Amino acid sequence: MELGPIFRALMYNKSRFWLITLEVALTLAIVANCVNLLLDTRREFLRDTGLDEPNLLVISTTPFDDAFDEDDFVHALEEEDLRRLRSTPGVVDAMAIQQIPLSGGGSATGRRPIDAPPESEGTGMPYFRVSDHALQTLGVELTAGRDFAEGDFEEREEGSENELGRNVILTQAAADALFPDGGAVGQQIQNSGGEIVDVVVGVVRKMHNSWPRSEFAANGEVVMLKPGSPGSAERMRYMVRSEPGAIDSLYTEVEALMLQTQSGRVVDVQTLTEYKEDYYSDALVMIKMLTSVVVLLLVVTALGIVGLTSFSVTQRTRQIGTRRALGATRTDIVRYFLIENWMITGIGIVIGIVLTYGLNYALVQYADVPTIEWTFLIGGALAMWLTGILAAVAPALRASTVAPEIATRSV
Amino acid sequence: MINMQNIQKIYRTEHVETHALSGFNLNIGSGEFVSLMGPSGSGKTTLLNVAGLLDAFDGGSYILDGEDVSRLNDRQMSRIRNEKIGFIFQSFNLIPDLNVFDNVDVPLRYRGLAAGARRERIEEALEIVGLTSRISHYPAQLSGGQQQRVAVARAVVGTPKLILADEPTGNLDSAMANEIMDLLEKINDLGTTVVIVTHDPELATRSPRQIYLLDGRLVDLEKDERPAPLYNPVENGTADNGMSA
Ligand SMILES: Nc1ncnc2c1ncn2[C@@H]1O[C@H](COP(=O)(O)OP(=O)(O)OP(=O)(O)O)[C@@H](O)[C@H]1O
Ligand SMILES: [Mg+2]
Repeated sequence: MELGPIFRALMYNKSRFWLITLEVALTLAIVANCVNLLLDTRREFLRDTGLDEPNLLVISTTPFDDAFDEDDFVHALEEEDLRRLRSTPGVVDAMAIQQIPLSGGGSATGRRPIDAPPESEGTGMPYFRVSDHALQTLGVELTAGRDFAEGDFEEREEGSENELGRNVILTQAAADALFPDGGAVGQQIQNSGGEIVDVVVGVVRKMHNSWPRSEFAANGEVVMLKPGSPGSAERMRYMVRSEPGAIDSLYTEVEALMLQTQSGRVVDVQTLTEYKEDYYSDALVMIKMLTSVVVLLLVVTALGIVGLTSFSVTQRTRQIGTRRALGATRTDIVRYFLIENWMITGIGIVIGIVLTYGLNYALVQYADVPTIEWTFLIGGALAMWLTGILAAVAPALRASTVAPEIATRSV
Repeated sequence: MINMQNIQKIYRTEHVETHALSGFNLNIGSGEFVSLMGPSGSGKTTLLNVAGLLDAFDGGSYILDGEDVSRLNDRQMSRIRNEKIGFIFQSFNLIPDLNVFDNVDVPLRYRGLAAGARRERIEEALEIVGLTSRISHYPAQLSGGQQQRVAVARAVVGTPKLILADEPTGNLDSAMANEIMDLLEKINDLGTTVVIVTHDPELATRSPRQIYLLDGRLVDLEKDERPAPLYNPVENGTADNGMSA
């Protein structure tokens, strides 16, 4: 190996490498930070929602018939819709719900323990009004207390005390926010005015609310499920949990099924994933754009290395001929240029790592970007190094075709 | 040392075939010091290229140091160039990015010697050419004569049996040219065969044997037998003098 002379020659004539080195360094810094951002967004998009997301279908119906103005009509229809949905082959369970998790649109209120001092701040509490079978349909896991029972859904008499209070189920995050010391089940919680008092009867492990991208409500994990008939004259919504693999056929069937049960309404069917993709659409577009930028940048860098290496090979045609005359084989020449490139790229990568951290530091300060992990940086450096070597192969091979007789050609 | 029989060397371009060497025979014994002269375009460099395995030839046989080198692959030819031959070029051909030490080191690197052995040889070779004090200088920091002396050190560092020099003094003034000739004589005295191309009859007379090339053919004359006109390359040789297809 002739690492020493190759390195010394590079150090003597730095003009040969600083352009490629700079290119590699900048590319690494930009690509590493782009990929970091991209993976972070992707991780955020793919994080556990606590729901049986891939198997959930959302049916949203908008009535246009006057019949829907009657509360009794809506409630009766809701029960009939659910009965028919649940008896459809391929359906695990179905529920009515007034807002859609992961969709960006929802309702929130505030709650605090009943014995908390009145001036204490309550907990921001996103909530969903749900029919029975909610846990089974959503696929959330009950970890303490009990599921809703039949009595929990009964409406209280109008004008009675605590008319709007219910037995509710909280997510673990909501229970932790209200009762940091634990023991949420059985506790009473009230709204800021104190006129609504709910009782916590159960806790589920995890469920994302309507705004999982927001830091509000523990990054979307604080949820209260409140039993009651969620349908109204404006809108009736259902969620349907399908058996694995059945969602596509259900997707096409349920509209007809709904209209068959009751016409006079517009039925819109979407998967929960579609709602989520909609809510994340700008992030998903950014992922696509960043991916294209990264690929393009790598291609441009590779082409740059090919060009600059070709140029530096051409510049040294005579030197190559001389080396061949002095006993270098073709393999020696290829090896020379690959090693040289490896060093040039290596220096670029070292500088690039420093730049990457610098850029990342700035991004962490001014934007919502995580710190780059070192394992990840090693991956980026390896990719850069591989790109460099691959880009140098063609010029190095061309160098090896320089004939030894070039050495004696008069200048 | 060099035994060529009926060597053909034809340069083919799209439109012309140049018979640079045709039916060429040459015998150079071990330890000889030979000057190669002839007008421009007569094939001197071509001959040196063929003799030094820098270029393939199209016909005939070539025995170098007792070894048939007519049909060798690239790796074998590289090894012979590295171990048996030392080259000196008109424009020195030092590697500008390497210092004197690393320049002289180049052929040894391709031989895969250990660092200690290489250092010893390099210092010895630089001693011979008297440039020990310039060991860390770069070519750009040396005069032409000094550069060529480095090139001589590079040529002898691997202790080759044959030194091939193509107009080694062509870019030097006469004082420096004589210095280089002194060096080559010294190396020849140590037993190395030396073949040198020169346009300078004065320098050529310093070697015991001169060979004249004319249109790719050999006119081998002992000293004092040379016909006067061949002395002057300017009169006899322009580049296109009789050389064509
Ligand atoms: N690579 C080449 N391609 C085509 N023709 C060539 C090539 N090299 C040499 N020739 C031709 O071969 C002939 C001999 O050239 P060569 O270089 O051997 O001459 P020379 O005696 O060294 O001349 P000079 O004294 O000018 O260096 C010339 O006619 C030249 O044009
Ligand atoms: Mg010549």
